[in-house]
Amino acid sequence: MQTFRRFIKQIFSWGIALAISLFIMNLVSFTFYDPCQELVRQQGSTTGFLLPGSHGVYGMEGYCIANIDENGYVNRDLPLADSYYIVAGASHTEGLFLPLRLRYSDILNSMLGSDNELRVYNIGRSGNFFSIVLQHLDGILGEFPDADGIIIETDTLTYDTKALYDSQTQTGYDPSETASSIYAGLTDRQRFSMQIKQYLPLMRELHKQILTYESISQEDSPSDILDPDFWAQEYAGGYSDALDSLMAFIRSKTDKQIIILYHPAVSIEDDGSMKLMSNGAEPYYREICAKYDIDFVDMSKPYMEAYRKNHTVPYGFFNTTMGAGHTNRAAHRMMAEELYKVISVKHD
Amino acid sequence: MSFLSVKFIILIAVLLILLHFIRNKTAERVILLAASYLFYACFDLTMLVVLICLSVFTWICGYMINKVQKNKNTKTARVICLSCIAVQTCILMFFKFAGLFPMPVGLSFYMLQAISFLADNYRGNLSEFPSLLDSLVYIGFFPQIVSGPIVKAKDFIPQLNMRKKLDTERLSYGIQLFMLGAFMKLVMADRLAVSVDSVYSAPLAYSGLSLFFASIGYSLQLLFDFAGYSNMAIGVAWLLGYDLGKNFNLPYLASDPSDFWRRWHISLSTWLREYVYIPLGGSRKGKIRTYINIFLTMLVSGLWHGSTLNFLIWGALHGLWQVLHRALKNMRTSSSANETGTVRKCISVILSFLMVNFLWIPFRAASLSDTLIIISRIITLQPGISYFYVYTFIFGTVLLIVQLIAVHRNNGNDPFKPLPLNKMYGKVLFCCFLIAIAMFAYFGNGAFIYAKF
Repeated sequence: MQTFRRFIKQIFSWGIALAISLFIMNLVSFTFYDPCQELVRQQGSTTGFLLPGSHGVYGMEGYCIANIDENGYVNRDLPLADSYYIVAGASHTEGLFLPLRLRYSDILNSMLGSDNELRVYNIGRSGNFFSIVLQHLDGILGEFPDADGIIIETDTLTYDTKALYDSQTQTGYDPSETASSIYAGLTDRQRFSMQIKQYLPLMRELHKQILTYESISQEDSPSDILDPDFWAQEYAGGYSDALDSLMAFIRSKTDKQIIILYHPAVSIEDDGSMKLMSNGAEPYYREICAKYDIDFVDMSKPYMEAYRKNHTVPYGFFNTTMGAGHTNRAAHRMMAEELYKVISVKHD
Repeated sequence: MSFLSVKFIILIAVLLILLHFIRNKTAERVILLAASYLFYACFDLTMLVVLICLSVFTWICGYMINKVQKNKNTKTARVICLSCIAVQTCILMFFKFAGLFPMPVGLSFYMLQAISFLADNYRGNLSEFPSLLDSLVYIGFFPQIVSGPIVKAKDFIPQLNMRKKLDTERLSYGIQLFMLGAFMKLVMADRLAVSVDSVYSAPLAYSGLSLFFASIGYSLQLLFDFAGYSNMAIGVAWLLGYDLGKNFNLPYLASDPSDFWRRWHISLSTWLREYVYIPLGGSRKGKIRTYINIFLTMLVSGLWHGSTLNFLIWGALHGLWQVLHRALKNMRTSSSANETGTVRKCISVILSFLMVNFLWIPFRAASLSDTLIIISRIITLQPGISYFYVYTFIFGTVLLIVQLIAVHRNNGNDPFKPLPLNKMYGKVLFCCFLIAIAMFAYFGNGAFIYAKF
């Protein structure tokens, strides 16, 4: 009886200790990894919103505290200017690795002479790659009909003929599908789950760790998306027609300024040089974009120039590795400068 | 099977339960041997044959030495012992340098134990000649077979007869030591490896200052990786009832090269001292001979670590540093009294760390040309990518704080003390530590650095 009582007492005290330590480590998580909650949507300009009015902390790569505006996008809480540009893209555009004001959209906003209102509105969302953004073109034009232009960011041009045609399939636009309406439409259970996630970032951190552990245990077969043979075959086939068809499709949707911002991935080579990770599609994009009056901003040259002059690497942070991962503040500054050149030429 | 896998945790749990109920000493050894071979077979089944053959060969040699010694034929015993050690060394060299076959996991470590078995047997350091089962368990003992610590036969074999039973205190200490090792490996070393690997793979791209910073990162990575592994191995052995001794004692707190080798990879240092340096004559044959012996011992250490020229240079430079330090020390003690003020001591520690750090460059660099590139770029402060990894700062600061605590409270020795798990704050800290490992572990860099030696 005595032993049993001691055993129960031990179990109880370990339970309390675990609860206290979970509470402490959860507090630690708030300063390190506390991502924003996502609201998924079917139609519109992106695949989803972030919870309006919330904040997120991202310290895995770079460090930032993200501010989610009333529409569910990562922006400063400033009014939208009468004349503005929309910036769409994936995680590089969303910029959850840099403090606000250091993202290319925010720098461009300042360059356009506006600090009290948003002349560049960022609707970047992680995972919304080039082809996905294009599928949401109707959504962007529907949600932001007054925009002066659209900037679409991409870090790769590795979209084959099929993907170029598929990008033209539109998801559509439903004006009633706003961040607040989606949130209002959540069931009590879904809201409770969101609340739990919001107050227990530790659980999300641990879940992410488990997924990472599982992913390294699985041996993926390496796929070379830059395989020159594959792309040579593509270019010899109907690639040009597919790209032409895509650009014609984009132009047919709007007569506003459209900018494709392409910033290739890089690798640091053994000999100390920096190499652009390209599949060689740039000339095709340059030529066909020009045909349809679409601005193609290629960061290849500025990136190489910056590396040659100052050894500036566009990707990586001091808490990750250089040359890999997401665009850093130097790259965002360069992208803003290049975009500013294109926009100011148009306005002049 | 990695220490940091579910399979390993299950193996340990099953083993502890079995050992708890078994009272028969022979059965204990059989179970330990089966677990060890199972663990080893998970790495490479074919290389298990090499391990078994070598263990049996070692035991037969030991038996012959013992037999001859009983007949008072010391000279023949010496010849047999030296011949057997020569054969063992040739086997090690064959796998290490010939490159015809893949190196069996942990060969460098268990071969040194096999040599220790013969030498201790020849010297009469073992009270009685061990049975075949004992010698198989000693050479193949799974917690330390992959990367040490290298335990001498005279220290381990007697423990087989007096294995400590698992009690609450032992369980608490063993688990906490294992957890500390896991933290050092998964959270600290593997995270540092991310930065170190990227810089060392393209040294021409980085600035001199960034390369210097990466070299510090590697010094920390190597310590956390190897000391982390050692802590896990010692912790597991402790749970099973055996004491493998200490392998690290805050090496970057060393104030001179001799002090460094008393704190870094202690089991290898003591092995080299006992089975290489002392048999060469140690410090008994005059100053010049002492210097030569020190240099040769460090050269052997370099060769043991790897087959490339870099390791040989690393060993030679360590030898040279030790010799110079010894010579200067001899000159100083004969001319004036030795002053050891706090400032002087601090300067010595910093200079020693910088020297050790510098010597880790050939140890880590892929080739001799990379070593020269890195060193020349650091010295000439070449421009390049500026990259100062945040975690090098963080973990460096953590180590510095631990070292300051050690100096302040424990006379410069490792201040690790297990948490009192009978108290609530001990339990809370234990759980926090466990959650921190899960939270901050970096996955993707599983291999232990010393496993490749």
